[in-house]
Amino acid sequence: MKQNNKPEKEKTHKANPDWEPRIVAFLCNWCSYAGADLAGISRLQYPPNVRIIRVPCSGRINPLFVVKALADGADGVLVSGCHPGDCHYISGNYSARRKFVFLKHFLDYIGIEPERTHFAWVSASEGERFAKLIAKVVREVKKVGPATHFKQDNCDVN
Amino acid sequence: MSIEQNIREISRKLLSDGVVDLIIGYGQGTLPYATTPVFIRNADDVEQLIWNPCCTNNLALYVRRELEQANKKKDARPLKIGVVTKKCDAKAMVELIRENQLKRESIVVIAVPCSGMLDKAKLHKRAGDRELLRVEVSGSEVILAGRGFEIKVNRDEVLRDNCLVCKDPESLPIADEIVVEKDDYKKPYVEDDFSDVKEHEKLSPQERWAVFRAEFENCIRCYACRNACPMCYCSECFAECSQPRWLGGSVELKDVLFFQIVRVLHQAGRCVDCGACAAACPMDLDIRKYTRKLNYDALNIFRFETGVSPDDKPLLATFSIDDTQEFITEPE
Amino acid sequence: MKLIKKNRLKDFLNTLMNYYDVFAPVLKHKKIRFQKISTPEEVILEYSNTHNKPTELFFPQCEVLFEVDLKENIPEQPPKPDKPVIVFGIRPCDARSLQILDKVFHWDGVDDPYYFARRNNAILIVMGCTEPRSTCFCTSVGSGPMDHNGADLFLTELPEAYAIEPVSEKGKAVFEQVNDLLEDATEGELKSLAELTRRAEQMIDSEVNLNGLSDKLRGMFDHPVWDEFHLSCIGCGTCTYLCPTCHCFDILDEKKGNYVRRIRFWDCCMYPYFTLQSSGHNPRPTQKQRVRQRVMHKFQYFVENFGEIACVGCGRCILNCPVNLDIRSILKRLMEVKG
Repeated sequence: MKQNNKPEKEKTHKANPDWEPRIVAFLCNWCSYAGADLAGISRLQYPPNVRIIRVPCSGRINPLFVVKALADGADGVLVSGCHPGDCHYISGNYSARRKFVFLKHFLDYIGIEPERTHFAWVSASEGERFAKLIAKVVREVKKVGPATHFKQDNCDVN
Repeated sequence: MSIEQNIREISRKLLSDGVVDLIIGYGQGTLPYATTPVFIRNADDVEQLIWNPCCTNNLALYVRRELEQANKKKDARPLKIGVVTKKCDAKAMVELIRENQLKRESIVVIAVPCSGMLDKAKLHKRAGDRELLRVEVSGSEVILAGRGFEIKVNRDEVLRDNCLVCKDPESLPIADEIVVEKDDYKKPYVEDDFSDVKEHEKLSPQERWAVFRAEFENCIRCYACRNACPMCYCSECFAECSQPRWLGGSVELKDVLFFQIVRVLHQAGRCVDCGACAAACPMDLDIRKYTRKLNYDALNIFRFETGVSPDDKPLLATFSIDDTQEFITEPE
Repeated sequence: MKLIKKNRLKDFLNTLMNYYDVFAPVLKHKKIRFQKISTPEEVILEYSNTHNKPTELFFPQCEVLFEVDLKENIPEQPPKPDKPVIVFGIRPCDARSLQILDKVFHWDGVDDPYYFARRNNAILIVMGCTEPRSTCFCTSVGSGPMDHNGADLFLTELPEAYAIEPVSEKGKAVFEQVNDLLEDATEGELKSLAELTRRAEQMIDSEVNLNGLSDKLRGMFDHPVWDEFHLSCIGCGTCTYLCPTCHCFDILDEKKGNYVRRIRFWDCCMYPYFTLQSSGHNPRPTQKQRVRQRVMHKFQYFVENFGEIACVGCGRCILNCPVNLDIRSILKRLMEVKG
């Protein structure tokens, strides 16, 4: 029983060349978040499409968070933590890495394009790397356009 | 002596010798293709135990639950459970032991040589979706009968898919009491090359999503898959968590697909491929197609197989410095 | 009573589709369930019963009660149905289950507007059961495969035609609309109808004696027999979500950005969270209490509140329970023990 008769607001990127993706970035407090900070302090330019969520460690990321972000309308998700070997908690990012392999491949398998989910390592001193990373992620997400996977005419509330 | 009598004999002895307090096994169901789990505390009741190719439920689930409930009671003598175990139950128990959900010394494994279980959906399909009133198994033949029809089918063709790829169903990773009797039927073994997974990967992302969506948009969120799964034991499932609330109440895509994705993902490196989720699903959704992808990755990337030895750590509880990095995004 | 020849059934459905939105059993993803049809060809006529409960047409698994755009702050009611609905091919047990739901949604004389908006808008064309399943036990709960209760029009499949009988006023109106397609029945066909009815009732071979069960259950809340049933139950919602008389629901407010909606969706007494209170206390802490609740609700509390057993004997829970926990076995056992 379809209830919601709201007009369809979604525009495809083809119909709307101005479409900008919304990307959720989970950044580890100790490295990647500080890297993002450094990029800001250094006044490096990078696309404003990311909404950053600070987490204590990339090992804190439950795959559920990534799927939830996509289900709630994010066009892409980035998870970034310390380089392997540099984890503030010794091995959080190693544990995370194993989880992410499964997550990335599984989402690809069900049909969520690999261009939408990104995992990366950025240290606190790599402001420039962070800016480049965001630019790349945004480029990749733009390639595949707006995420419509979880949209259904009666639950599209964006 | 048949397998069934052998099981009864072992169970009677275990109960009357006081080795175990409880036997969990299979009892007669009310449908021709179904058995129902039974819980036996008295040696005189062992006649309720049966064995046939319809013992599909994974009993590891009950073993964990019973032990957990018994351990909640203070000052109680530790419960010991005898379990009628086929290979997939044993694999599930191995994984539960690995994850500290079961103590090896709390269970007595009655190892049954399994020759594959019948697939309810396949039986119905072979009977042309007519109602089955009698399912009789003799050797390599299965007789399906209902009102006004009786057909014989090859047993190989109505086995569950996960049974076909099960190697050496007679050798269990853990065993205490061994049922020595054997079925005169030998199940075919198909080497698992994950060709179905590879085939699916060849589709475009849009096609893959279309397949996934077409399947799971029929989910009624009854949670039978989760509740039948021996590895789904979280005391609070994300589906019911209210702070924060991850899942809405609807059966719209954003809720059903989200639930299924996350539930399946939770099986990464843990799924024993017992087929319980798919067998339990009242909507006959192909859940196994997706859990198999995880098993494929575990094997392919980490050379890891579930349910082999209770001594190792679970795959995702460990790591190696040399783990794969190929999926990491590099900015350049 | 009149007849409609089998080869004219398509015309019959086409005629109905001119006036109504017609819902009928169709095959959707391996399962037969009720859906709105766009051509008569979609309709499945050879089915014992639909897999999903047809009551979902009136009390859907999830419905929006209202929605608000916080910027405008005006609640929007969901649109009212604009065309009357015909449910074609519903079985007598399921038609009866709607009468049971009517009572629930009219508790204390207050109509549930969402349910009755759909219910009053619908006409039920019931198809008598000529081939009941082995799990059907409708005769044990005061009904039968040819029960006309709850029907607006009643159809029975004869060898070459369907016998069609108007039962209610609404049904008579439909009967008039399709009158051109109908023929009078011959003596022989009347005879074969009576014969079929008798045969169908005989075919129900699964019987549970429920005489005095509800009175007996009243004193059995703490009976040790309840320790027996729940052991194999895995606590899933299959039985309740497929049961045509199960009607428990939850209400939730969902918000996203400026958009808020209140939804009502099925809940299930088999889940621990069904009764969990915000204090952390759960009055039904184990599966034992939950299984007891389900049985008691259907066979005791409901009888006390509404004078009727809340089970129509359709057998869906028996066919689909993942562990084959059979309600008939539970009832038999309850009848056996000393209260």
